[in-house]
Amino acid sequence: MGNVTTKEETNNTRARIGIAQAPGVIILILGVAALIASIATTSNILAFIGLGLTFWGAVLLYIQNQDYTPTKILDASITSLTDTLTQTIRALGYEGNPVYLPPKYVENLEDTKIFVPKQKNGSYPTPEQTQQTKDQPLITNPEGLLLTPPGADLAKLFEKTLETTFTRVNFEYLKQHLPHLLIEDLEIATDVEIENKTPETRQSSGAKSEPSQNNTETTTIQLRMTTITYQNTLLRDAQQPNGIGSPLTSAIACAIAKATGKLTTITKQETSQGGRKTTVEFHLEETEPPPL
Amino acid sequence: MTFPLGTDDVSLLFAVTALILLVTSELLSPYYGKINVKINRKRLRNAAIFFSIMFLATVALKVANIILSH
Repeated sequence: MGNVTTKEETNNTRARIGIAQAPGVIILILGVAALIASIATTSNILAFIGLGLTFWGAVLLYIQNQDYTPTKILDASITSLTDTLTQTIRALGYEGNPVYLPPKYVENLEDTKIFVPKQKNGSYPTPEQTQQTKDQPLITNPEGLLLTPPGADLAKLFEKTLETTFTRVNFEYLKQHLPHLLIEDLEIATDVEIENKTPETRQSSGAKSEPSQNNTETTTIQLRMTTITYQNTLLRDAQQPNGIGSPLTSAIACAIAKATGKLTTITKQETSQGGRKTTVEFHLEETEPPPL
Repeated sequence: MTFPLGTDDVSLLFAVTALILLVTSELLSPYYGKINVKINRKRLRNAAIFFSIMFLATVALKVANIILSH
């Protein structure tokens, strides 16, 4: 019975492909026929028509659409998943601000994890501690949850599309390539701006080379984008911030954490125009080992 | 039984086709938010570039012919 359904589905798919390609095929056949006729009759007009139709038929067949999913389906299927994740974390009593861990915290460099501390201002684990967890979500010292973020696979798609891994690149690469990726390659957004918001005075005054008392360096990255998809999830995430973000902001946080090698948190998310325009601030922090 | 069009005619056809495709691909660019037309924009741009190169190749051929004939 299952096989019958599969065959029917295959036939339907073939029929749909046939209908989609029909105009291109018809134009191409007419073009070739006109070309043959033009050679037989030595007619310039027929040759022009034939060449034109052949070219346009070929172009129509070549630019056939990929499989598209309506945006509303994407939004509707994702929103409840992210809600469930947030509710589960809160129900378990983990109240800390989730942090995106850089690659040195995970065993497989391709993966990204988030750590949710138990306490509101709880400390983060060391790379050695998280590497030893072997996919166990619960960490005891410091107490917290180690989870795969909702945008982990989207971040992998970013890497696949850019034909690189974010562990090999730096923030400048991300700043240069992320807008093109989101606008032209994936068509998720129509406008993307990413910039380092850390005050220059702080950077130039040697803050980077002189660690503060608790040996941390902080950087703020601001992302402004006008999105086409994920508008409902972005809007809901801005209204009820959970620190993990929507799949899109989560994927960008994964990319930033991987590229910079720093602990990344989503500190601020604002949306306007019904979720179309979004501003997200990422807070980067590098905890260095205490000086000997 | 010869093909009735010369290089000039084919060049003109390439130019017109390239122009239409280049303008279309630019108008449908996601930078302007025109994403409701469901076609593969990358392939459209590739086709536009292909026809532009073909047109330039025919022009180069014509220029080469003129230079070599003198």
